[in-house]
Amino acid sequence: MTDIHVDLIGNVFVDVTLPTGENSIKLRGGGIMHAARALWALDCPYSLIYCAPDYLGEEISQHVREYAASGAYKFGHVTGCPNVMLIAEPKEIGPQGYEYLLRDNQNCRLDAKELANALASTEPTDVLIFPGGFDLTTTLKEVGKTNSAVHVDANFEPRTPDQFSALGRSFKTLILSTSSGTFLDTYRGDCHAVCRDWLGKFGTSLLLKENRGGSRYFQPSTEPIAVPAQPRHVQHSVGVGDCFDAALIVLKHSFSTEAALAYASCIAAEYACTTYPEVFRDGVKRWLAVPADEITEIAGTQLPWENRSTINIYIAAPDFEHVDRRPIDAVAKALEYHNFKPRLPVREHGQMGEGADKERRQSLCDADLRLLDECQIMLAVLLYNDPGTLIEIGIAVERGMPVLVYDPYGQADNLMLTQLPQVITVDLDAVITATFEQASKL
Amino acid sequence: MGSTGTGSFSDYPGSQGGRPEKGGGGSSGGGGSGGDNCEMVISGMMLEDVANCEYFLNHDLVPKAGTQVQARVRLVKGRVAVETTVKGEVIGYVPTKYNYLRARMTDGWQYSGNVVEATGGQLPKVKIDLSPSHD
Repeated sequence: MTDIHVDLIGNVFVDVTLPTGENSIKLRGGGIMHAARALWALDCPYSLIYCAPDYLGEEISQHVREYAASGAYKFGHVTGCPNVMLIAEPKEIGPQGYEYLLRDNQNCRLDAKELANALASTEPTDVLIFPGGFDLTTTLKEVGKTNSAVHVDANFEPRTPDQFSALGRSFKTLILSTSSGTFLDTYRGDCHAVCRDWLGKFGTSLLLKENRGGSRYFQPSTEPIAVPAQPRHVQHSVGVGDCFDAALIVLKHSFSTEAALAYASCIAAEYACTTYPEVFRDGVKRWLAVPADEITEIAGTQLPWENRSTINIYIAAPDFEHVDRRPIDAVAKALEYHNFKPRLPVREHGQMGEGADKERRQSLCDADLRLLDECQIMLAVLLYNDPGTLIEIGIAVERGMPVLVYDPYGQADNLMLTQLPQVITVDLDAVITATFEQASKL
Repeated sequence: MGSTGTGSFSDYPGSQGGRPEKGGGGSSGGGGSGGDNCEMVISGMMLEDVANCEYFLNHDLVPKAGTQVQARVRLVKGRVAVETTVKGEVIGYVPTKYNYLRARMTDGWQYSGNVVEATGGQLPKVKIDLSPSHD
């Protein structure tokens, strides 16, 4: 890959993953550093063209040395905030809870001359831009003067595509994630609307990353290429998409688009499984040793965003006012985040209440069973040995419906309960992964 | 000042945070997590799609408990297949969350073991243990 040189343009952050029950606090370089780690692991020459506050200068110099960057050029001077990103939920079971400290005070003075100088010095074959927190129009005007292939991950900015035109030509790859505000708010989660607006007019291809449901690569007038996600026991999801971007654009120089996408998916999964860079690099080398004709066939989880909203998931749980319902809420929120349709019978039909007569009991029972008929998957939340939950599990198993049990307190011991469901786990992340797997098989 | 936690970036290659210490696969100081799992034994793995695989189709039954098995290096229909060690008949596929075994096998790791439980009938099931070894 020595004939390739990638310039990464964007912010350098300090990512602070807040401690959770199982992991202590984690501090590491974020922003374009994630893509940089992927390029390092791929032995691809690259440079950083970055925005950051002055205090990060030494750390960035160390990164250049340790991660074998060809150079680093500061084109954006950040003041007013420390470029620190707090991350509350690193696995993206649900919303990640990013908190960009002092965001309202952030100011970035852009040095267009330094940007031009960097681009002239590095002569990149590819430029990968991560907009957000700097003047994109000026940046694109400078980048547009080069002969490089230009790729943009528009996850955070711009919210509307008009700014893309500042490049003065087509992007080679436009990249978007289903978790981005642009996708969810501007385009209401409609990937076809994004394609209509972006493809052809601003770029020759569009990569839509769909989290645990895989990715799709769109080009004008052709069927999209779909690549499955690799389900793994992830440690984090921070920067995993950036890693995918970098791997894809580099590997497209050597492989077909199908193979490059499949390798990128496996490499991104590897990144999600560790925060140790050398373990990650070992994993990357091993995946690249798998022949391209095999990697394009590799199975995984493929579930387009828009297909998920039609999948009704019956939440069997003691969802009563007197119970601590936080685990149920967490499940429902995570499913909604991933565009599934959780169905909560007690909230839809109401609580029975004390002293309910036979007619009311029958009416609620019938309504719950009708709701079960509408659902394709059962996700039981076992807060205690609630008879209603256990009976509903039994009914679903007998119907041949996939049953997943979230057992947050590790109470399940009964033989039938531990053996009959497809999955029973104390780990909400594993429940969501299993939901994707089961839903993709429907 | 009473602060705790990590005081600097902790994940440079070649540093303590570059890879976990030998024998430590999980979390370490600085919040690093996710060690290399090449050496991990996989116990009680249920194989998938047993009914449509070579062994069941050829014999109309499942292999007995104790049958020696191994992961085939090359993917079969995009899946990591488990075959009998003696005849190389595919019994079933490992769940896709173990697809990484394919990558591990590119640098000399092999995964072998035996059938620990098997039931035939309409929905045949085979449970295996797999252990790694290296050339």
